[in-house]
Amino acid sequence: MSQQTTNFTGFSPAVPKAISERHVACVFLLDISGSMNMQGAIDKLNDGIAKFIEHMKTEPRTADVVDAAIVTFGGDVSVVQNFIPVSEMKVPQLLAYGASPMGEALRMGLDMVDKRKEVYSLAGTPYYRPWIFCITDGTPTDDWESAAHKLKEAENSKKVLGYCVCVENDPEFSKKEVFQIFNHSRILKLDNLDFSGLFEFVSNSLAAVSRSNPNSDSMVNVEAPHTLTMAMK
Amino acid sequence: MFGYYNLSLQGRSHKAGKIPCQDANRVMVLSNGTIVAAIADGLGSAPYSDIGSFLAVDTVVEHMKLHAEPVWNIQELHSGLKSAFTLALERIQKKAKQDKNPVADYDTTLTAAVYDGSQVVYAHVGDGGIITLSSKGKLRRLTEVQKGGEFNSVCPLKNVDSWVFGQSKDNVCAFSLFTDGIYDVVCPWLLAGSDPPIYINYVRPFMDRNLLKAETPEDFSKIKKEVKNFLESEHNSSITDDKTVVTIINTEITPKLRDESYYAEPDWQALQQETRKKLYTQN
Repeated sequence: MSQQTTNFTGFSPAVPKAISERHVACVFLLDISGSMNMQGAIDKLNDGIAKFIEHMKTEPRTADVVDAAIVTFGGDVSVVQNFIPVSEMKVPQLLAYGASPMGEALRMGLDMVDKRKEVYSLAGTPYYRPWIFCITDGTPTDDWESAAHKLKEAENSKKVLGYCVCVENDPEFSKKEVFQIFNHSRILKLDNLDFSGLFEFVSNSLAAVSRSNPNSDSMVNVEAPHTLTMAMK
Repeated sequence: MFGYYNLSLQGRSHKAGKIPCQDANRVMVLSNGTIVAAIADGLGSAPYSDIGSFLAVDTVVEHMKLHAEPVWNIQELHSGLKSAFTLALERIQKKAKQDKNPVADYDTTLTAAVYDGSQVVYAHVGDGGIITLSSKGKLRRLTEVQKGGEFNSVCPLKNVDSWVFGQSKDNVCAFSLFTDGIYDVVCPWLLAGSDPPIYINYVRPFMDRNLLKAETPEDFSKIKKEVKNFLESEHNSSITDDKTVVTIINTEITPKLRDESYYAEPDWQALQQETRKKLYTQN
């Protein structure tokens, strides 16, 4: 019998980084309306984003393939940051003011997702289903119905996944509209303004998505902090 | 004349989720001296796709065994493979009906090849693929990857209109069939604009007899273990999906070595920078 067999020893220590990894895009829609000043919620949100970036960067491979964008709605709607790998993300300093034009923010987020997918396609970069991740402490103050319809259409055709986290810092917060905009199974409630716990959860979830089987429809299974639970109507 | 190894390994994500390996493969040397191989990758979204992938490869190989013609005829082989794909789909549909489940619960890709020692004739649907090595030492991608419009969907066997049939043009001395987890590294998207769009240094040891000097069935058994160790090693830690490789080699031919530049490692950094420009300067 011949002793000669395979020769895999000529390889570099590992398959080079990110030559075949799929990207995952996530647009954060952040409510920075005036009510986010209550109980220092806006500061905790800023700290939470800092924690998210810090936590994501502990896994460089993931931080290179998760592309995040930030859209704020408070008074007006602004793209605070267009898509960038989390590895290059800088911590924004958000200030709270004005009303909550969530409908316009959602339309903008969905447009950004469409454009991002075009960019991925042009670059030949495979991708996971993008996320829209909304964090709000109040009801929308603008026309949100058309945005809700657009989100439902995109979700039904598996083009995007929309999540909403309701921040429990305003006693007058009715979630009636939120439940008409987002899929009920993806509406969460955040207690104690635990943005650190929330963003650590988001970070772990995006990392799990980036490692998941792209052909699977099953949800990633990540342990949530006790402050984050399913929201009830 | 033929040597081969074949393996399907459960991916890390499936081990963690206690989901069975949804890939399947089968190889058989036929009575007419040719060899047939089939691989299938059950879709992660389909709960019984492990059954679907098994039925698919089993049906194709058994059909080609029953219809092994004495003369190598490409048209006849295409026709045989088409019948085999049709039967595979029918068998899956029958199983779904029997179990009162939707056919989609058994969704799987399917790639099959018949080889006479110099030419590969294939049938293909899905996101796996075939890489051939010619006697002149050239690697080629024989099949196109079929991804859905959203880049995260796959064409399964039931998409009859997506079935493609073809054959190699070179004198092929070895070839491998891969399911998508490994195939995404064999043909990474960073090399999509290169010629060939293949990570040559990664794929060569799977099939190039200048690196893999196997002669006997015992050698191939040993190689199978080494390939398994390699695929489960840190080298491939980024591949979390199930992994299937079937390699068939004509042990009478050692391919010519090409110019050194052919085996040069791609400049990954430059390729990544170029892609980053495309991904982030349009913001």
